[in-house]
Amino acid sequence: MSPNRAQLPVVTATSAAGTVEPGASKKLLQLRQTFEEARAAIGGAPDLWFRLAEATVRVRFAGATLAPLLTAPLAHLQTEPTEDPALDLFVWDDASTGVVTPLPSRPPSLSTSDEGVFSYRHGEIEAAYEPSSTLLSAIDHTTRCGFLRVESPSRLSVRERTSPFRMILSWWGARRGLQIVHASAVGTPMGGVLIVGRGGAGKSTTVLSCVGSGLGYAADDGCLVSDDDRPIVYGMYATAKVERRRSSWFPRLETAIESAPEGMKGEAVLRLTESFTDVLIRSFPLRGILVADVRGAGVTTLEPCSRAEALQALAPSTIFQFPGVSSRVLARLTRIVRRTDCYRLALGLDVSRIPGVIIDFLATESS
Amino acid sequence: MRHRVSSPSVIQENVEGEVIIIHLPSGCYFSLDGIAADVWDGIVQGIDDARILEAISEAWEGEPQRMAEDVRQFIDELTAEELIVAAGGANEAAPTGSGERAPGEKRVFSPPILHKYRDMQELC
Repeated sequence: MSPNRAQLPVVTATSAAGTVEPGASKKLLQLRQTFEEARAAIGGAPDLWFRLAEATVRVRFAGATLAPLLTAPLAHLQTEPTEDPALDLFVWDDASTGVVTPLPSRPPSLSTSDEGVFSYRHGEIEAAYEPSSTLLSAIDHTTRCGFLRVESPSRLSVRERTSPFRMILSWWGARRGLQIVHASAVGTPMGGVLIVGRGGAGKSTTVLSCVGSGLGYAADDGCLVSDDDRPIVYGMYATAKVERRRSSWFPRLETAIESAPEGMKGEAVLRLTESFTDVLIRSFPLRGILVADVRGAGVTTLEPCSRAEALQALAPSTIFQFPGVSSRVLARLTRIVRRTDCYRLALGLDVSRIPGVIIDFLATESS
Repeated sequence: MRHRVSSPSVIQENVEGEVIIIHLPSGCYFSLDGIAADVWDGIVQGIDDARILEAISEAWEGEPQRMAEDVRQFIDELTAEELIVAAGGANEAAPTGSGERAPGEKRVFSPPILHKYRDMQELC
């Protein structure tokens, strides 16, 4: 327990809607205790260790059901235990453990029909609760502990199964000078690119077309980027999503396609684990930001574009999909964009030509 | 009259003379360039409307009354979108301008445009 916890006042926590909810902070401070009660009730699966963005993360479970569901997308990052991990993640569900996790209440000013995520911030604690999935994510920066709780494993959303601990890693990364971005990413150890753009712009198509081309796959819709003079991209998840009607464009990925879980109408999940681990890349220096633009005709080419266009393609979706202090996130994204060459990736009809365009670009950038 | 950006609901950045603005409560985002970016830049600097218009008239070539109407209309549009609000006091300094321009060089005025994007609204 943090030595300062007993001294923290019971203060209100500000929800995403800007209203306040008394007592939220007290509930958030009890999460570690709740996890320990859960683990005592049912036992725990072995701790798992992962190497992410040059840091070690330990994941601890109460019960065994959630471990395979939440760690499969991170399997390629698994590593040996170390002393003093940079982040300890505590994971449990109420149903199988019999605990009742105290949850922050819905802010009283919001109607019962309001959905979405309610976020809370109190001192060094950040948290978010998604009522539709019963997912509570929280982090205590003082103790470097993260918490993930769901009512039962069956309530896990598809998003959480394909990109687990997303919110927690976003908060954690921000304190380490890492910005989570809504982007796809491919590259080699010498350098790579972010692919940015609104939904349907062709990000997933672009990165999936690169599988097997010599370009390593780092991300489909989320990765970490360091806020440095020379930004580094860190891959997180070995998963991707593609519209089912387009999955035939990627025949070599057929064995990676999972049957669509309920709620994923029109989209298939690809798991790039097991036989695809050789196409994954953990990190690379950022050499370019490409704004995906589906033309539906002609050949794929790179066109000049302004950095403002790249920022516009990157920032809104990042800010609205990931938690964080929005003004700081925008400032960080702006710095990353300013340090990087930006182009528009005009996507033509033949997806097989996409990797060649990116490979040629990277060859030019490195010369 | 002077205006200010409606922070913290509104966040913005100027990148090489183009402005990206995000209205957090609605999920809408906007882009500005050229004259629109110059007007916005003046507002961000806390310059009152009359001085902004003066600066626009010095930097852009156009019919003065038309320019004044278009700039006022644009400021009204920014207000209607809740990107700016009226602010008290006055800043007598001249706007520094958001784009790079050679001294004495004037470009042809055209009405400032606020480009609005709504594709992120479903996430709010």
